[in-house]
Amino acid sequence: MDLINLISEINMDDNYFYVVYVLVIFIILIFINLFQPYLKHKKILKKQRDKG
Amino acid sequence: MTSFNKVKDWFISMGSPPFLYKWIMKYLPFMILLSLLLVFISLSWGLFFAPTDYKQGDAYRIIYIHVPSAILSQSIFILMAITGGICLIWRAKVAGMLLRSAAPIGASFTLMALISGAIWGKPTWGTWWVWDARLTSTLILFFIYAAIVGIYSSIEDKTKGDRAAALLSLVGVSMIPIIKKSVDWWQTLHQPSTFTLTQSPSMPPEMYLPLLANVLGFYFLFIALLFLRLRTELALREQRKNWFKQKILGD
Repeated sequence: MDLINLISEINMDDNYFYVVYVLVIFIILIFINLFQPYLKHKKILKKQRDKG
Repeated sequence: MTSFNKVKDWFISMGSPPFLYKWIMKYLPFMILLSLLLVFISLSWGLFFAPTDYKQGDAYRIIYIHVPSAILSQSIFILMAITGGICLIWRAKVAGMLLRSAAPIGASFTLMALISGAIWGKPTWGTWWVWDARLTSTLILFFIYAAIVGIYSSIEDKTKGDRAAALLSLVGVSMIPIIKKSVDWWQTLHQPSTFTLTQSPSMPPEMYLPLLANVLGFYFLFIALLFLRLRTELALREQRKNWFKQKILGD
């Protein structure tokens, strides 16, 4: 019930899709910045472990 | 030992790659979780629960991503210039790594500020882009970031790459006061700074408090992303060192 009350308080109008565009681009950029170095680090560790 | 000496010792030990790597490995998961949680809460506050602007409607909510991104794009460059100076004067290896790790994150936040500004410009100014002072100077800052990232890709010798990037960051930091003062020095479409040290914000607290929370959240996010990139950079440059091999095989 609290969650329903909380969601009903959300304010939106026709311009909201501009905000959604920005939010989607922001999430994509953050994911790239999180996963690119993570995967690179993982690759280096794997290479070193394979070398023994 | 006084607390000042303790901090000094800690700071000096941060210049040692094995110590820094161990320290990052310890705090990285906590920093990522904390920063993502902070950004999620502050963005939800701003995007869903802050009041609607009577003139711009909901389009103004872009401010909650645009302003923190723009603030970070400038702060990160100042950090890069400081580390660039340390790198050139004291030849500190870790300073070069820090500079290299911060550059792509700074470029991402500058790109985010430019894109979010363009998307915000459409409903408010009626155009995606104008060649006004604030926008153009921020675009130049993005090109400098891109040049620094490019230097590292094109120069194979890491030490030479560090020095070239450090020099460019020291020259490029002159763009920061130009960007900051561009809205005062030239006639622009862009509004004046949202936050200043001398005046209270022109927005009501229900709007600027979520903005302050977002700025804080974005700073934490930057630190977490910097830790992540610095860890990778340390592993890349130190992978042939004994301490690194021992650490990898020991885990």
